[in-house]
Formats: sequence, structure tokens, C-alpha cells
Amino acid sequence: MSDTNGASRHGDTQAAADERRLGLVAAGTFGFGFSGLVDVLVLHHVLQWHHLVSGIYPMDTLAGLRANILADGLFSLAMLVIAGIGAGLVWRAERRTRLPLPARPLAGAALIGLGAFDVFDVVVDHILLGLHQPLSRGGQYNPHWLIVSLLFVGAGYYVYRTGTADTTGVE
Amino acid sequence: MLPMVATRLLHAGPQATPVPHWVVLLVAVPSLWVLVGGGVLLADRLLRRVSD
Repeated sequence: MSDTNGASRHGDTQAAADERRLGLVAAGTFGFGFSGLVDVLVLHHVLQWHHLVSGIYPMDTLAGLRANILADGLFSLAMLVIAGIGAGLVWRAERRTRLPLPARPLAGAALIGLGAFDVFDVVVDHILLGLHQPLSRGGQYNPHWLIVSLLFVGAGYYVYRTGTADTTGVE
Repeated sequence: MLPMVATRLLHAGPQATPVPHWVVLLVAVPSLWVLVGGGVLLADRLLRRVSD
């Protein structure tokens, strides 16, 4: 009987650990998509420093601006879907656990995802593909962008680690 | 000065779609929700298969 209880408890712990892991991936996915949305809304639309494809299509002609707005719109939709999927996955993981998922590790994972998008943006969009550049000034600010992005990733990892130390008391 | 609410396109060019805007909204918004919901189910199944 006690063996059965022990096995059941072990199974519960394993299931909870699995849900926590899935929750972390989900929070990271949400952070990635949310960061993309913030990028396009603040930098592309409000400040108008650059657009998604302003390295290819000019921002100062009507046809070029329309191409850029279209690209921004499609990019925003993609990021909205990614953020929505991340949020939905967190919700599903939360519903499956008996105990609520710990908040700090989830917040840390979301912050890592946020920084990961910015690293992706600077490496792939700015440097490899040349789709656009920060402030539309060549690649002058790419190193700054990369450092800030890595700081976000580091901050996320710090929040995640301190969160896991809080919840398990071991790490 | 630009009006706060644009009642017509502020730039040149044709309307984006030949169908009424309310039809576009009626199709686009639920489609987006379905896309996100389907993506959640698909990703959930995929992640579970990977983690097993």
C-alpha cells in the first residue's frame, strides 16, 4: 500500500515537474512574441525610427512606406499569434497542475524570451539579412542593441534562478 | 492638422479590399482567434510528445 502511495506521489511530482517545464517554455514563447510586438509598436510605429524592411524599401516614398507598413502589419500578426500561443500554453499548463505554477521562474522565462527576440532581431534581421538598422543609421548601433538584448537575457536568467531557489529551497 | 479619427484613407491608393470592411473584420478577427487556439493545441501536443 505504501509502495503504491510512494509510486503515486512520485508520478505526481514527475507530472508537476513536466508541467513546470512546459510552463517555462510557454512563458518564453510568450515573451518572444510580446517583445516583437513591443518592438514594432514602439520603434516602427510610434517613434518611426525604422520599419521592418526599411533597409530594402525606402521610408521616404509613398510606395516604399506602404511596403514597409504592410511588412510591419504581417510581422505584427505573426508576433501576435506567437504571443497568443505562448499565453495559451501557460494557461493550459496552469490548469493541469494542482499547485499554481511559481510566478518568478515564469517571469524569468518570459524575460529570457523577450531578450531572445531582441538577440534574434539584431543577429538575423539587422546583421545577416540587413532588413533594417536601429535608427536607420547603418549598423552603428548594433553592438549597443546586442548588449542590451543580452542584458535582458541575463536579467531573465537571474529572475528564473532566484525564483527556483525560492520554490525548491535547494538550488 | 490631422483629424483624430480618419474617415478616409490619408494616403493615395486603392482601398485595401473590394469587400466591405465589416466583412473583413467578421472574418479576420475570429480567424485570428482560431489560428491562435489551433496553434496552442498543436504546440501543446508537440511539446508533450517531445518531453515524453
